[in-house]
Amino acid sequence: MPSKNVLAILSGVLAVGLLALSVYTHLDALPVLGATAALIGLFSWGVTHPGRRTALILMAIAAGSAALFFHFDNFWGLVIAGLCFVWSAFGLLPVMDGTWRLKAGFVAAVFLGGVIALWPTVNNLSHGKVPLPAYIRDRVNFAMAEGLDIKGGVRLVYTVEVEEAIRDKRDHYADDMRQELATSFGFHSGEGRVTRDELSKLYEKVHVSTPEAALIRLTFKDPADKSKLDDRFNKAFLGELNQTFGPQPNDVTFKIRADVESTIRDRAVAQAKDTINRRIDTMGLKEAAITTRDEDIIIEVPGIDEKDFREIKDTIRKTARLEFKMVDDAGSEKVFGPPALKADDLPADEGIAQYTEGAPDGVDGSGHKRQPVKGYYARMSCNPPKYANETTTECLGRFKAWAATLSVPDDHQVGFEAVTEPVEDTEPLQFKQVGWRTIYMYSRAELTGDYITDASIGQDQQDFGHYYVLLSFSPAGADRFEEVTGANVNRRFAIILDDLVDSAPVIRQKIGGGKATITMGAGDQEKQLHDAHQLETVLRSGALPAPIVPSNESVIGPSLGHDSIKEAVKGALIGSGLVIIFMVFYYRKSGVVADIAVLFNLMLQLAVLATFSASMTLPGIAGLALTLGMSIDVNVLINERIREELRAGKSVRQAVDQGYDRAWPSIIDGHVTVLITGLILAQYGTGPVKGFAFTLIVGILCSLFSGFFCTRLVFDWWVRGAKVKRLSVGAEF
Amino acid sequence: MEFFKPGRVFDFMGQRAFWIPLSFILVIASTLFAFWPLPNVWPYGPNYGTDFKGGTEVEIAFLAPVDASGVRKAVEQAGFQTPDVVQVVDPNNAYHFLIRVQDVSAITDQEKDALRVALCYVEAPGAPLDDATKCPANAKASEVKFSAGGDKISTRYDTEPDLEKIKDQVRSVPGISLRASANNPTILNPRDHRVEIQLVSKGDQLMDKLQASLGKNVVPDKALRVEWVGPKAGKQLRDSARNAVAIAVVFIMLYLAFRFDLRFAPGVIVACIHDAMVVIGAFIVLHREITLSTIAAVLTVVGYSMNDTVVVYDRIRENLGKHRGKTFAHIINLSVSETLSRTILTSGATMLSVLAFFVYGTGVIKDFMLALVVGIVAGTYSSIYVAAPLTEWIDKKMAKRADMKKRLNAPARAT
Repeated sequence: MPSKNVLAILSGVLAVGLLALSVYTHLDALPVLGATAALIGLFSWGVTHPGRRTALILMAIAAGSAALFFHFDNFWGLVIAGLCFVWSAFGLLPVMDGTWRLKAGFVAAVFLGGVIALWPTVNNLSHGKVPLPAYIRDRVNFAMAEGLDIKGGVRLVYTVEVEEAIRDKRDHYADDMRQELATSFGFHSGEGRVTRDELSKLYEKVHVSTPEAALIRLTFKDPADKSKLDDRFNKAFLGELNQTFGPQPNDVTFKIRADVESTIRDRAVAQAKDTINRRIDTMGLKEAAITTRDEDIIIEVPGIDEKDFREIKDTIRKTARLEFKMVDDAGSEKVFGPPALKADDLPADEGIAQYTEGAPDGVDGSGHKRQPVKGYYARMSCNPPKYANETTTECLGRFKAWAATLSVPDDHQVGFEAVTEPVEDTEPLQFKQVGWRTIYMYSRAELTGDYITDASIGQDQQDFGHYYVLLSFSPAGADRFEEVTGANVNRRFAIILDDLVDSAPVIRQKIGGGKATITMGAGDQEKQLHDAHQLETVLRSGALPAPIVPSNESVIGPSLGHDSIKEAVKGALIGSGLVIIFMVFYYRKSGVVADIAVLFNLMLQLAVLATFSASMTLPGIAGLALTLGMSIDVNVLINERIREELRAGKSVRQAVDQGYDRAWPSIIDGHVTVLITGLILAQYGTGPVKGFAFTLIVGILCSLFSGFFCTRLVFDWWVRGAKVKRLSVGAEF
Repeated sequence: MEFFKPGRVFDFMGQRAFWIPLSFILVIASTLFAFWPLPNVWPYGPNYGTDFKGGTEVEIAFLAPVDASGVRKAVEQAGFQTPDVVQVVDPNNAYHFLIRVQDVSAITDQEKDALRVALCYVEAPGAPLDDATKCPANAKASEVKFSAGGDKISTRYDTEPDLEKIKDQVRSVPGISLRASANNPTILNPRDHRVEIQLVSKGDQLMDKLQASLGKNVVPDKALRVEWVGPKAGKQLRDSARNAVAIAVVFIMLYLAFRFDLRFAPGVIVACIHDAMVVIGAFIVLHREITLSTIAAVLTVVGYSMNDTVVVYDRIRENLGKHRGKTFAHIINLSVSETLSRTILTSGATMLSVLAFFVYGTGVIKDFMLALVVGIVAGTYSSIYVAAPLTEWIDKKMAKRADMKKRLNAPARAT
């Protein structure tokens, strides 16, 4: 019998080796034949051994799916199938019982998985001394990078355009003033939000304009109406605004007070920093450092990988300002239609043309839809012969410059939306941006991104599989959304993201529940998904209070000198070495087991951290060295218990079983308390606290697995497989 | 190999009369140092690093080859603790460095008050503002603001300001010196007559000292840029960390109350607070800088301490079931003695790895390891002399209350 087993193992090893060789030699006939023969031998042995049959079937399934995954180039599928193959292959080993083999196979599979996950990292940290096959390099797209203190990185300086935040605040005041004045004139009841009709009535009496960044000017038709600026009005605004009469006799000018202005500035910078922090947090465990300097935000990011960087920069820079405004199709003729704009007057070679469309025009008094009106708009076709090589952004710049020459009333503005066309012969149908068009809308935002509580990605099953981002509003936002859509049935509604109109759908009916979507337009599926992810991230982290512009970018070196890094690494090695030697000295063979468990733990931790592209900083390395000391605790507890049981005169086998059983409660309680801390810090902490918590969680789980689960296998093998009479735990009993 | 003869019981609780008051004193002293530093009574206070307080950032293009560690050493010799020294890759300047040193405020509150008076912004006793010779309209500030780093004053005037007069006003305040520069003070914004006055800052002092130690042929006369930078860890981090810790405390207590019983829950938390405070106290007494790494170290210590305490608790729970009728103090002695060799092994092993780092580490690492060394000692100690006695005390209180209830109920039942 044993000779048969040896033959089976030989044929198994041979099969695996020859299969690898045949893959390596691109299916050369000889190894393929050999592998087939070996496999047949293995299977015929397995079939005669009922206990091994399941394992063989599982191996065959795993190998089959691995081949499929390899064919479709699904790397992680291939890895998982391969690991399953290894796992089930352990079932064939002629040692111990089925449960043990199952567990041992699992450990082996985890080990191999860890090796694959760590490979690029090891290659990275050894500066290429450990070779990395191109096949794996192209597919394992994560690795631990050295942090700012060890390797350095890139330093980005952005300037917050605080003027924009001030302008924003001023608009807010202007809106409040309109509301207050409409109430004083008796157009508005004082309850709820002032409506557009009430505003146009107010426009007859007083004109609220915003000529400069921090200025609001009221121009009264009738100077006597200045009395409307009563105590109530003053109480509401004069705390933060200075009032002057003039410059014209009918004017009253308000200016944001200097101290309020500087508060707005400071707050805008602080908020921008917080938002950027949140965005970087969502991009993995990048130990980035973010500081402020006057109106600048300095971001230091470890590593200098070009692709990573562009991604970070793109995500940081998105203002993510979301606004919802009403489209005024009926009024568009006044600006984009004749006589204001005649098609013949348009510059011929700029690509701008006048278009009309049938546009919805709301409902009449009894709730029936009105006849569509003729809406006018201008359309820019990009890349006319004169500008053959322009980008869509440059094209938009030209369009905006042209649109600035139009005379648009104060309470209206011109929005720009991308025009796309389907690309022929693509499946599913793809769209390409070909130009821009105008959307004539009211400048008052009905709803802003401040009311968004969450964003998530979805894919439209009908509309060419477009990806979209679903927005959820807060209860207050949902109420406002319902109110606005209810009052504007059968009108168009523009969703504006960072000053560009994303879409302008028609409101069919009142929309409750507080959900809205932003659809990704042009580009292939992959690009859409990428854009959708980015938008999700920035919307979740909240909008920047004002746009930021890059002002400086430089590559920086490590903040720790080479000498201190070298010394620290020396410290880490000596420390771990001492611990390992000490354990062997104290526990003998059991100490060796504990050491292996600790090293395995270390490797697993690094592998998990690598999958999250965590940065490796010196305090991080120090933390790992400490984990090493702590994870030894599990084995110390177990070994001490085994010693106690042996001392009490138990047999070796009983001592191991009871040692593990009795050590379990204290191990699990200790681990769970630390795990709770880790989970909560990860949930509620930010920045470095979050990163620390994550490392802690990974460390705890790995230590439980390697220290308890894996070492048990060795002890079981000793007492049940090898049937030792004496356990080597460093003391004689 | 064995450390102790098995079966020996040490009388740990017999010495608690000495250790518990010591713990109390340590924690109270640390808390006082950390939250209510009294500079006049007590020379110690928390020394927050640039991560928390911000600092001065100086960008220098050195004239001759220097390396990061050399610059760091020179900066440290100039009296700045744990500076950030980072080389900037710059094609124009091969030795372009960025140095961030701890704050900073060059101006005290008294000096600020004196400056406000000198700039005719507030009235001083006996010197009315409408004194036209001292405070003419073109040197009478309508607003005075100090930059966070104390190196700039920005003022506003109602009319075109007289810069020479302002210069004299600033110079008249003792202890304040203007930075030597061609246009200082300067009008920032002619529209609202905003003036910026630059003072000698920590950055300038740093430049002077660097020049003195590294030599004029290495250190240029002027830095490329000297600016105050804000802290890395702001309010957001502090608030989120505080909330997270509070929630974690609640959940851990719930878990322990569920797994052990109510008597055990407060002990772990108090032991953790004890250890965290001892570490912070050690940092304060040793004048080490408290940085983000320190916070990570304190969190690590808390995790370690928690695990250690739970192991001792587990033994107490087991022995409570085994040895009925024994006093709680005896049970503690027994349990601690039984787990003693494990405690020494684990903390010894951890300590070994940390100590090696501590010996070889420099700067930030040394500080990080210092926190861990102190924390491991405290964490091991606190399981025995903080968590266990507290549990015993709570047990006594609860037993007494149960006793009282019994006695109150007994006569009622008799009748």
